[in-house]
Amino acid sequence: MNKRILIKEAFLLVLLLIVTGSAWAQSQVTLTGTVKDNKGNVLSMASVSVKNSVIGTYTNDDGEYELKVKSGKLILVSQLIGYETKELEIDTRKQTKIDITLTETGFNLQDVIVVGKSQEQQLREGAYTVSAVDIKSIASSVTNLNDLISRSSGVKVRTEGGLGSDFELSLNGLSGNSIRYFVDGLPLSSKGNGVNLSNFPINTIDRIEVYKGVVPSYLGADALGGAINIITKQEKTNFVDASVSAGSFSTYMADFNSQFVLNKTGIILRPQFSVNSSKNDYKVHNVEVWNSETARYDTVTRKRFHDDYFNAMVQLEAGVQNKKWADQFFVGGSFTQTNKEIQTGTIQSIVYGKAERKQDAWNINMKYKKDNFLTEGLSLNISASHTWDHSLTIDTAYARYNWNGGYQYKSSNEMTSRGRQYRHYKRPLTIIRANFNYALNNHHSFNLNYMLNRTGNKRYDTASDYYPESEIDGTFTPSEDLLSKQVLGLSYDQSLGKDGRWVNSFFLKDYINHVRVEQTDLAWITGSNKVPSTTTKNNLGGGVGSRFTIFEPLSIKLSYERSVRLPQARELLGNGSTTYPNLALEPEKSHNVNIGLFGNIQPSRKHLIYYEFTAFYRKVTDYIHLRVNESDGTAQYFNVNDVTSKGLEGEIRYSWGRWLQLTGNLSYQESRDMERYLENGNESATYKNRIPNKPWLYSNIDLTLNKYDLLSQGDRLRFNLLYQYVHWYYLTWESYGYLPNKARIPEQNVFNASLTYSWQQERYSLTLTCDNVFNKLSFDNYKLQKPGRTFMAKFRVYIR
Amino acid sequence: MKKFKFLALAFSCLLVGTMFNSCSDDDPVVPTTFTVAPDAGTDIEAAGGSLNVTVSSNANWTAASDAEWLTVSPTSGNGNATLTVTATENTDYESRTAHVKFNFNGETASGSTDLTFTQAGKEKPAAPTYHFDLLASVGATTGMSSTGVTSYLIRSVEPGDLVNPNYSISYTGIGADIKSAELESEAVIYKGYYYEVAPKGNSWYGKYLINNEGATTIARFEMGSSVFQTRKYAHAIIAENEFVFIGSDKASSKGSQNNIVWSKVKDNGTSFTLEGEGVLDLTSATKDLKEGGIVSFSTSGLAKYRPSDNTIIYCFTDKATDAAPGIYIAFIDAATMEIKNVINETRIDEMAGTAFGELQQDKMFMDENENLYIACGNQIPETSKSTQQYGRLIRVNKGEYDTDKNYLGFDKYDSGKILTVDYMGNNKVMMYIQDPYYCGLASTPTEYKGWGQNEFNSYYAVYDIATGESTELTFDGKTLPYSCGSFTDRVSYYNGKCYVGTCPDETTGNLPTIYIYDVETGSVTKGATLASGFYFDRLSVVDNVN
Repeated sequence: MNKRILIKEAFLLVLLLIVTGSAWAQSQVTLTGTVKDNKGNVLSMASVSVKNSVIGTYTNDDGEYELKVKSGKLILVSQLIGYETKELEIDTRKQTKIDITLTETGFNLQDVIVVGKSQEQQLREGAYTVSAVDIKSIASSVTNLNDLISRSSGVKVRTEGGLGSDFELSLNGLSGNSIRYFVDGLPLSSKGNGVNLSNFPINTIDRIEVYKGVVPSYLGADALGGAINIITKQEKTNFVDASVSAGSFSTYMADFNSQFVLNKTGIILRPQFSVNSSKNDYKVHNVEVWNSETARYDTVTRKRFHDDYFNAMVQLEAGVQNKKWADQFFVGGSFTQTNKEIQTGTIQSIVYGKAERKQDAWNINMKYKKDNFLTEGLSLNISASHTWDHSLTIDTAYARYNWNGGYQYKSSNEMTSRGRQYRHYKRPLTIIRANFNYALNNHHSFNLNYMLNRTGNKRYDTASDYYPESEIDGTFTPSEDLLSKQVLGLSYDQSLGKDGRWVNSFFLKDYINHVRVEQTDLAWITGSNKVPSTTTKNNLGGGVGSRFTIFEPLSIKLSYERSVRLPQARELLGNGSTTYPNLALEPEKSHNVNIGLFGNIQPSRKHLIYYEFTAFYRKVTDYIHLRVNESDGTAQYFNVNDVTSKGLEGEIRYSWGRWLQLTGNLSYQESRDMERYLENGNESATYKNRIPNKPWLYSNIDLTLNKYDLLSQGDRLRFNLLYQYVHWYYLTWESYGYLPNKARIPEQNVFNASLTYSWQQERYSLTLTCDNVFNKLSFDNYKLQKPGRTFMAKFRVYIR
Repeated sequence: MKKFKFLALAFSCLLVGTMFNSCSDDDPVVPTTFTVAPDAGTDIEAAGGSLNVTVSSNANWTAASDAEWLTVSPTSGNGNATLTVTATENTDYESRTAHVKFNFNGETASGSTDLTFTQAGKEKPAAPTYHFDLLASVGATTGMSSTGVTSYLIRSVEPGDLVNPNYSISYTGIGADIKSAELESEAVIYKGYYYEVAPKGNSWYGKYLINNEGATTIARFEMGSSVFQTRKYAHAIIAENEFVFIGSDKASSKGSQNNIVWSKVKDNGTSFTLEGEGVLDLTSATKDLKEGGIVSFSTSGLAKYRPSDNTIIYCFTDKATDAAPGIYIAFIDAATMEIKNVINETRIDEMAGTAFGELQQDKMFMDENENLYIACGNQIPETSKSTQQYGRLIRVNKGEYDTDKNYLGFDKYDSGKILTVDYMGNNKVMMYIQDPYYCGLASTPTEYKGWGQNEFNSYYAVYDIATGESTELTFDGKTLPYSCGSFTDRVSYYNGKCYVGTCPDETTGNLPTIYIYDVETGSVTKGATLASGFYFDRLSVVDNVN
């Protein structure tokens, strides 16, 4: 680690702490109250805001709100979809408890886009292409988060198999490292590398924000293609939220999520626990087994036999809220453990029977939040986290398995055909984030964000503890990398015109990448003679977003970002054996442009149509690409110029009161190879060809029906039907070779259905889901079959 | 039939003359007669030739052909005559016809008649018994997917098209996409079929038919106890349809221990039989050459079968960090797979290449006398990288269990790394040689510049084993454009001709082109070109399959 950088980081941290520790802001008025409907029922998720300002909040589940405002006269606005907007003129010097009553307009739109965002966020995000998937209201019905996110337009999740299987999420055509994941603004990797969208405890989630292309600076990410931010629930009262699920293929899941406020001290405890496990022993069809009697391969159907998955997560947070010195201060710790058996290679005919992967991670973290810090309108948000992440890949069996579950001895391991491996990866991760937001007045606010992300990558092998020297993989050499990156972001948001009909956002990001490399061997390959052993690189990015509402049924959104993704340790430094370092690797850069039209149309009182159409364009330069040398299996990451992705997507939602909601979306993407020249300088035959093995046309149709007060007051029966369509696509370049015999990933038509009955105001709910109702063969990757018809039952208790 | 028609015609002319005659019997006028009769029919051979036609008449006449290829002589006369009709050679496969028109003008009558001549078409040649397969890769360098997006394409081309300089070979909508078929581009090509072991990590020996419409599986057989690694095996054909595969049991061996396993596989047409398998005990067999014997072997090595003493000659290297210089050659009894002898050849640093066991590139050859030549290389002195080499040929003479220490081929040259060798008979070898200095990419023979596999640093030369002279291939008095590709083999020898493909810098206006070297005359002609934008990797002669 470069000393100067370390000192810089330490200095900044100390500065933040000093600043944090100094005087707390001036006094302010806190407005409180309850929002109710005409009948006196409390209304949660109603917005309460100060007109023509960025100050606002949402009511909690008990309809209560709390809002800090300047003292004096102001207009308080309360809104909730399905209710008429109410404006109240008040003088906070006279009155600080204000109850609001809203009148029902007769329809109830469960609009997933605007639900649950604070006014500040709405202002900031309003100009970006973002869709928020509301989880809180449907958490009872959901058993798989990946499935849910996959319903959004422009999002495609390709999974290899059942619960816990590897997946790849793509956002408007970019995937993998181009996309960054966050939990409450902190990188998801802080929970450990074993935690991802497929096993994140659903009940703890409030909503998921999906940023397509342009990523706001306050997330502090070096993302290229977008970001996914999981927002967890922040309740103020005691609650216990527990659920258990069981289903096909011996799948069991349990979530426990709770909050206890200790009366005497006001200390809040948030214990969380979740466990997921599955045998994933679904049937695979048309697999081949060798018949030694006939000396032929028989085509058969078999159950998967080595795909057990187990994941557990424990978390405890403790802290205080609404103190003079902190709006929020929490310290916490978590532990996760994931065990996963590996059944197949990249194609279904390569079967494993012993290989497995284990991951565990310990994490400690703190977060601190204070509004009106030092001065009015300035809010501070600091998080720090350290994770001890450890993963282990065990590939020690000298066996070649087949779909009968039997095996034949061979003198190399299963996955890499080398010696026995007990491979450890230790990736300690430190993250520090500091965010300052300053609202100058009702129309202008500034945001400064700093994020430090330091990752180590240590690889070693312990097979020699268990096996003789002659059998361990001698081609492996241990390695240790260290990579530190810092992202500094500054943004300015403005809200112009009446009721903020024109919203603009401008931001700048500075990416600082620091690498230290000791190795100097193989300089002609690694380029270590071309770059100094310690490098610190600065890259500047930035963008602008704008939203203009012409009238309610028509708004226009436009955003642009010049984004940068810094190379990862693996890409820069190789893996110590088969992947050579490339120290001259440049960060990936891209131009992201989004143009969108959206609006609400309300033909009559109970009918509402929402639509959104977006066009996007991404042009990536210095795209980091792994180039494999076919002759000896070695590889190296290189910068490749010009990969573009453009596309169109549209979504239409129709709701009829609160009883029916129908959503349809369609995404079309054009990803073409824009690299004109081959390495040897000749013009490439694939120039302008569609990138193979990528879905480019897909659609979802989602129908929800609700029936209220069916058996008792306050109960609800919810039926959901989802149809997912993916157009077939070629595995390889589509222009070349005899087309009728080229490999394709076939068209997918999958129906998922779920039925949820909840009673006592969602206190209890029972859900039955059936995925892949018609038991169709489906694939996301070539010949890797996904599960057939799958049943799940989920019971949830939510006590407040 | 035709003959009858003409006779009838002649008869009718005669009749016409007589009729006129009968109208005026006052004058002693001789009636006009005119008859034509072919002496030997009207059919002409394809090669051309002459036929005679007899004219019997008492009138003036003229004769004319309506086709250029048929001439008649004389073209006019008076009274009886014999005419000669001559046809040139018919170079088409279709037959053709022409008419000779006669006009006569006599005292009592005039008129015309004609004869039709038919010339047979050229005899159709027998359909060729072989074709060429051209392997090209596409999309090697780009893509947004983390997995590779390279496609390997095999395109079959008829011999007549390959030698046609106006023919362009395209892959658009035609050819076998090898990745689509879950196959490797590296294969044993034998009697029209492709044989692969463990393609894409699968567990079988496979036999495939590959043509312009894709790949078809003909036979498969599950690997037994000898488990081979994808692409990492050498092969020897020890009898008709009988293969020996030799390779590493691990995917990599650098600094690590591995075994060399073997198997004998017989192809019965649509099925295989596993005739035997086992481990080559090269560790014991090298105990005299290295303390404890070698334990870390190159993954594929090179193998060749020597029929006269039923021996497989297997070349390999020691991959241990303490390896002695040079290469090792094992002599294996093909019947028992017992190792008869292992020697260490230290005059050279390494073999020209062993990565795919000659699945992709020809690295060794046997002459008419069963002497085996192996392409090798030595590092150029004072260079920084071990791959900067000059080439050498070593030789194992017929019946011997050691290399010929008195022979070292290509030793007149101290630059030029031999990438592929193809024996053309009569001591002539087509060599594909990588030499950035010779190709003008490096300023000195020792500079590390221009050695990349995508640089245009290689040329073709005919090497004469007897004289030790190497002559760069030329066309039209000029050398061929330099090619790129270190793992390519675009050379195929067949029946007196050597087919050589270039992969040139297309920005200079050159396309990948086939050149045909005639071994007997030494002449070079230009053949078909390949569509631009591909990496042209391999050219193979493949037997047609009925």
